[in-house]
Amino acid sequence: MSTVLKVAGVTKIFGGLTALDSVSFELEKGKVLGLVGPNGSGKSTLLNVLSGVYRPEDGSVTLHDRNVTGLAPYLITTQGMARTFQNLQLFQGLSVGDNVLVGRTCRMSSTLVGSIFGSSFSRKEEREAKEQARSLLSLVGLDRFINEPPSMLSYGQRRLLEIARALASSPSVLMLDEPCAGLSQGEADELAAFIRTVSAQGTSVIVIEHNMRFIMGLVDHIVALNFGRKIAEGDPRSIRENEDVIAAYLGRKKRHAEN
Amino acid sequence: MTTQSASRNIVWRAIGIVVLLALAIALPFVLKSNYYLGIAHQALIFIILASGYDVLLGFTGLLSFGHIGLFAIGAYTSAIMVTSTGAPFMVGIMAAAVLTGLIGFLISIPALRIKGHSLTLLTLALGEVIRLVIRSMEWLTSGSHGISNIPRPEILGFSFRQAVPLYYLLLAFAVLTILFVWRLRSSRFGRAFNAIRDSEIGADVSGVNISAMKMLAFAISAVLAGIAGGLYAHTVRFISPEFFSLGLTIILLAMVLIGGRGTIIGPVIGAALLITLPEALRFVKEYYLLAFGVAIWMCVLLLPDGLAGLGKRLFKRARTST
Repeated sequence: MSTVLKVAGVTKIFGGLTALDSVSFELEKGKVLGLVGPNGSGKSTLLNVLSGVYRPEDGSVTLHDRNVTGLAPYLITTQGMARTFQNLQLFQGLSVGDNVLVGRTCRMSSTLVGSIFGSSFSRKEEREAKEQARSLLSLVGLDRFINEPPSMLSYGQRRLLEIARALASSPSVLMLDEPCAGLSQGEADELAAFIRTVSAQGTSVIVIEHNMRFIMGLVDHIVALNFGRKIAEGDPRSIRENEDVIAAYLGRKKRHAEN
Repeated sequence: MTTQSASRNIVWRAIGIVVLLALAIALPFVLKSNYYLGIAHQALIFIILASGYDVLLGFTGLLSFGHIGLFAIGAYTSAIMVTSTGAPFMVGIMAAAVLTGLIGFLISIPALRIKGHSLTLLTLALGEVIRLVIRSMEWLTSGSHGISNIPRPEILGFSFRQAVPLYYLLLAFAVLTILFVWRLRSSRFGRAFNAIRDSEIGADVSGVNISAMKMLAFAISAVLAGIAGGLYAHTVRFISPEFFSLGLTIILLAMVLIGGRGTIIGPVIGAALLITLPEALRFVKEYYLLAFGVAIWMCVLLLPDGLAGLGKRLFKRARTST
């Protein structure tokens, strides 16, 4: 298995607060990695650093042997890492289909003049993008809403739409920030099945989630954070039994000395 | 929405476009007097200006108060080129488009860092600065006297001096502008503009180069303002700095808001309405501005999507009730 993403010593400081303290991990092709930890442990901050929303003070993010540390978000997406948000960031004024098409923008190269006059290249590119958007939407079961505004969708469907939009850029790493928030258990199970399909096709996935049943059933590997530090890493089973993780979640007094 | 009703929508839309175009073509046969044709000229010019302004305001969500400054630069560029160097009309228009496009691009550079109200204030200042510079550069612009006797358009020996041919020339420009904006909106660029308007961070992580797209939006709307300005100079034949005041900026804003921002038809309706309305409301005399203010106020309260949004809602209701 080849390593797709390598995160080494990433540190992020807000004022005097160290939100991320030298976090390192690796992600292999087609694997699903779960990012867990209590509130404020730095999971979302890490995702923001990986997606370029925040620039880290130290450390590096390497995607396919290319250093993408501190690049602007759109460049990181162009390089092959796409994400969704915990609080959705959909385009309310665009149709469901157009929301997905925006995700394809960085893979399109027709010029302004070509688009206005409908050059054969731009028409072909547009047609292919629309076909891809339609198939992505049917994959998440939203194809019948293609011409509707996102406001017509349920909360769970909006989450799926954001995932479809992220997938439109054909990413090699897909990052999901609490995709289960607001979903019923049934919807969460469907989402887990969908994420497995995505990873089976070779896309690596990083997922932040509090829903432990969801995480444990889905991921291959877990990185656990607490107070901005990686406290444990391993397969779901070993994490579930890890003393530090249990302590971090339940607030139990630690018997081990801090390292 | 099923594909069947979507295609029926397209049919309705096509019928609407054909009817509007037929009305526009037939208009000179109804409006016999040069006075009314003059108003129609103005309406067409403002349709171009408002459509371009909507690329910035409605598509990309950037509120600029300096747009009339670009309109003024377009008007002066073409007027000076044609009156002092004897350049052909089309060269004047092209020079206006290129220069305003360039200035629009330059304005966009600070605009990338500044957001919201600060951007609006910056552009407000820029618009006023442009007007004051035009007034003080007397050697070039003859200052507050303005430039008079600007020739009517002439293309390849064909004169558009008469009101009716000029009407059709302006109509052609307006139709081309609307076609351009329509094609733009359904392109990857138009979608990126809309995405920036709705969620900048969402657009960014979706792979949209926000800086480049904002620059493009500024430049496109500036080019259209330049063309509209050039056409205005050659239509009215007299321009002075006072015309391009802040008051006109407000009217332009009202055109787009009342018509419906972010739509293709909205600025067209808004511009046509706000140019012809003062004529229709002539009987209320000095209370005109009062009526105008109330109209804008009502629109903001009752029609957040403008007249275009109202039309869409009524159309939908009519369709669902049958």
